[in-house]
Amino acid sequence: MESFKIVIDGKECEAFAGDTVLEVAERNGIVIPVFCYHKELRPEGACRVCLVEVEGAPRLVTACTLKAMPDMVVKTNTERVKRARAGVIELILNNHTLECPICDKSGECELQMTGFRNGPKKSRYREKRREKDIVIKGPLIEIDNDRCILCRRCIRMCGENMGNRVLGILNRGYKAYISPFNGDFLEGGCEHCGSCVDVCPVGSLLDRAFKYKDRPWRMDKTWTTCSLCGSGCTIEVDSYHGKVKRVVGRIGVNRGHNKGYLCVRGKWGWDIIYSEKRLKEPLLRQGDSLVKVDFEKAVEVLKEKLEGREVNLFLESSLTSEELTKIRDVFGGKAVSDSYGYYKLLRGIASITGALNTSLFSSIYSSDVVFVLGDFIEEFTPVIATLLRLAVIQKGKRLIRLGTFPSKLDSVSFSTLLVPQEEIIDTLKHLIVGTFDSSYQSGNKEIDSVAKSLRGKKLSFVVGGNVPFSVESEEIGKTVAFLADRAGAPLVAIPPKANSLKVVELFDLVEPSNLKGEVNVLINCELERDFPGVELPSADFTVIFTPFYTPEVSQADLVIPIELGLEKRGTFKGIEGELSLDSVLETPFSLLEVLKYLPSKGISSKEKQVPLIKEPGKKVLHRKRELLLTVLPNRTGWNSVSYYSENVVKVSGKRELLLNSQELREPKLVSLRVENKELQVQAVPDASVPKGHALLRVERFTRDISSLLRGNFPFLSGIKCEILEA
Amino acid sequence: MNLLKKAAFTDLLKGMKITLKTMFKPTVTVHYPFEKVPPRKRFRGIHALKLNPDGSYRCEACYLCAEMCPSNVIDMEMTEGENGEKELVDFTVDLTRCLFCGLCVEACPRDAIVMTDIYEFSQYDIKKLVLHKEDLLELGRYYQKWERERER
Ligand code: SF4
Ligand code: SF4
Ligand code: SF4
Ligand code: SF4
Ligand code: SF4
Ligand code: FES
Repeated sequence: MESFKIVIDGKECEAFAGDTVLEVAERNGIVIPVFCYHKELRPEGACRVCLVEVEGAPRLVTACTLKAMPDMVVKTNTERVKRARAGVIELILNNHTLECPICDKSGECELQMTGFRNGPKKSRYREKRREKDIVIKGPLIEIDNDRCILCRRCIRMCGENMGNRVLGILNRGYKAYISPFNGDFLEGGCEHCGSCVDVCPVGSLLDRAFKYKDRPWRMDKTWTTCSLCGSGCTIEVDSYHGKVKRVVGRIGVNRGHNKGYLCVRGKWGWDIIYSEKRLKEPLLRQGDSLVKVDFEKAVEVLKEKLEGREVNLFLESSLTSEELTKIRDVFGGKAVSDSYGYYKLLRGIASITGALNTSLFSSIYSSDVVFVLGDFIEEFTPVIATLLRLAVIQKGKRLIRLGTFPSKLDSVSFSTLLVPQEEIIDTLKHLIVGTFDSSYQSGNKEIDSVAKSLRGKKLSFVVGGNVPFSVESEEIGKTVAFLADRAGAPLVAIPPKANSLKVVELFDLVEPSNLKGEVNVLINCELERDFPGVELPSADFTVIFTPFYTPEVSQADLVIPIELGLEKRGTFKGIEGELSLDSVLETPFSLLEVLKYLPSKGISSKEKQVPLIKEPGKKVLHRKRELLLTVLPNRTGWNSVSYYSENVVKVSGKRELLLNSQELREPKLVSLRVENKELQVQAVPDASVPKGHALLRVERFTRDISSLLRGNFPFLSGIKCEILEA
Repeated sequence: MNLLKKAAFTDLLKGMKITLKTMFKPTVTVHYPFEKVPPRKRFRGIHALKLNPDGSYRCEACYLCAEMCPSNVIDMEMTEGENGEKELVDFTVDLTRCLFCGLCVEACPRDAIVMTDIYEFSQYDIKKLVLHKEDLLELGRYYQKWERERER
C-alpha cells in the first residue's frame, strides 16, 4: 500500500490511506486521550476529548475521525489543545457521580485515568449535580446511568459489531440515558455476550455477577483459554486469594484470535467452579449406596478393577491434550466421543485432502470471499460467528452462506443461499461446476448468481454450526472439500468442542454399539448432554471421572472428582493452532494425578490414514412426507454451564418446537414422533423455519430428549420426524 | 581508725547517700501496669472501624486503606448486600505487621478507619492479633465514645 508522511508533534510519521490521525499517532507512541474511540469500533466523534490542532485548520479537530492526509502537520500538546481537552473533561465530570470508592470500574476506568492526566484540577461548576437515578437491571448486566458519559461505545458494539441492536439512547439532551430499547435485556434480544460491558469506558455498564465483589486492581489476572466450545477464546480470569471473581475478554487488548469477544458461557459460566453440585471426594459403591473414600483407596480399587480388562471409554472433548495423551496411554485408543460427528466431517474432508485436520481460522483473512456452510454457528460457536461478522464489517470480506435456516450472519452476508436440508449436497455440486464454468446453468438463478460471485475470486471455506451433527456430515465434508480443493482454497472445519481436534487425532472413534469392554470409563461427560440417544452399555464395573454430581453418578461403582477447564494448565489443539491454558486455582483433585498411578498400555502413536478418493459426497437424505428435525441446544445449553452455572441459567431459553407458520397456524401442544418414540412439546409457528423442517430448541439435553433421539448418536440434525396431534 | 570506719558503715552510707535522699520524696515515674499515662490526642493505637449514627458501618470496602498501607496489613472481602448496597464481608487487620504509621487512616475517603488509643494488645495466640470485622466494629464503638469524651 502507498504510504505518505504526516508530522505529529514534530515527529515524522508514516501513514496509509484511510488511517485516522489517531491511529497514526497510536502507532508512533503518541498518546491522545480518547473516550468514545475504541480500536474495535467505528469512530464516532461523540466525546470531543481527542481534539488536536491541525496547521491550516481554523478550529480544533477530533483526531479519531480525522483522516490523515499527506503533509498534514498536527499538534497534540499545545496550550490551546490542553485547554480544550480539560474543558471537555470538566464538562463531563460536572455531572459525573463521585462514586469511585464503590464503583467496580475504579482502577481501570478510562475517565479516572484520562481525567487525572488531562483534566482540570478544579471545577468551576456551582450548580446542582444532575442525578438521573436511572438504574436498569438485567439478569446479568446493570446500567447505572449516573455514571454514563454517553460515549455510545456500547451502542456501536451491540448494534454494529454484535449485530444485536439491544441498546440505545432514550430521551434527548440533558436527560439522555442508555437503555435496552424496552428496558429489558432479555426482551430486547440481548445475547449476553458481555461486549458492551467490556468496552464501556466507565462503570456504567456493569457485570452484575461481579458487582461489588472485588476491586479490579488487586486481582490476579491469568490469561487462559475458554474450554466451553470450539471457538477456543482467549480469556482473562481475575481471581483474588484463589477464588475466581470474574472473566473478562478485554476487547482490543486481548491477543487471542477472538480479539476479546466472548459469549455468555465464557463470560459468565465461570461460576460452575463453585456449583453446589461439585464433587468433593471420591465415592465408592458399597452395596446399594455410594460412600466417601479417600484418594488412595479410590486409586487402589481403580487399579484392581482395570487390571487386564478392556474398557468402554466415553470421552468428552474439552480435556486438555496432555490429559488426552495420558488417557490414551492408560485406557487405550478406542473411544466414544462427542466429537464423533465432527470426526465424520473431517473424515469426509480428509478423503479429498488426505489430512484429518482443518485450516487455521485466520486463513479466511487472506481471502476475499468467505463461503460459510452451516446453520446456527452463532449457537454452537458464538464467537466464531462474531468473527465472521467482523471479517465483513471491519475487513471488508464478502460472506456467502449456504444453509437451511436463516441466521444473524445473513444481515451482513453478500448473499445467502437457503435450501432445504436434503438439497445441500446437490447445491454444493452445482457450485462445484458453476464456479469454474461460466456457461453452466443449474436451473436455479440464486445458485447461478452465487457461483458467479465465487468465480475467479480468492476464496476460503468455513464449515461449522450444525454440520458436524448433521446426518450427512461426512458427505457434506467430501463435497465442500472437493469444492475447496478445486478452488485451491483453505477449508476451516470449526470444531464443536474445545479439543475436538486432538480427540480426533489421538483416538479411534467408534459407534457406541461397538464397545464390548467389561469396564465402563466415563471421563468428564454426562451421557444425556454429550451422548444424547446413547445408553450406558452393561458392564461389570463403571468408573466415572467427573467434576459434578451428574445423573450417572447413581449408576456408578466408583466416582472420582476431577478439575474444570479454568482450573487446568495445559493446551488445546484449537482452531488457531495450539491454545494454552493457565490457572492459579488450586484443586485437591486432578485427573492427571490419578492417571499417573495407572499402568501404561504402551500404545504407539500412528498417523491415521484416510484413503484418498477425491470425489464429492453422495446425498443421503431423501424425504417424502416426513419433516426433518434439528435439535438445537440453546447457546447456554451446550455444555456444563447450563446445568451448573447459576449466572447462565438466568438467561437460558426455553424448550419449544418451531414449525413453519404455514404448517402450524397457532401455538399448541403437539406430539413429536421420531421412529417409534414420541415427545410432547409446545409447538410454535415461526416464519424463519423453512417448510418441511422442524426445529426443536432445548435449554439442555434431558432424559426425554435423549430417549427421543435413541440410536441417532451423533446426529442432531436431519432426523426424520412426524408431528401428531397431542 | 580503719576498724572504726568499718564498724560505723560510713562507706556504705556514703554510697547510699542519693538513695537515702530520694527515698522519702514523692515518686515521678508511672507504676505501669498499675498506673497508665493517658495517650495524647493524636496517638496511633490499634485500628477501629467507625459506625454511622444508625449503627451501620461507614466503611464501603473501597480498598484504599489497604492499597496505601506500606506493609500489607489490611485485607477485605466484599459483596453486594441484600438492599443492593456494597457490603463488607470481612475486614482484617494483621497487627503483627502493622507499623502504626497511620497512612490507612489518611487514605480513607469515608473517615471509617481510625486509630484508637489502645496500645496494649499482646496476645498468647498469634492468630488473635489479626482483627476481624466484628472486632474492629467493637473497637469503633469504643473509639466513638472516647472521641465524644475527648471533644467535651
Ligand atoms: S451483552 Fe451483547 S447483546 Fe447484550 S446488550 Fe451487551 S453487546 Fe448487546
Ligand atoms: S453506558 Fe458506557 S459505553 Fe455506553 S454510552 Fe454510557 S459510558 Fe459509553
Ligand atoms: S465462544 Fe466458546 S470458547 Fe468463546 S467464550 Fe463462548 S464458550 Fe468460550
Ligand atoms: S498504620 Fe500503617 S502499617 Fe498499619 S495498617 Fe495502617 S497503613 Fe498499614
Ligand atoms: S479506606 Fe476507608 S472506606 Fe475504604 S476500605 Fe478502608 S476503611 Fe473502608
Ligand atoms: S475519541 Fe474522538 S471524539 Fe471521542
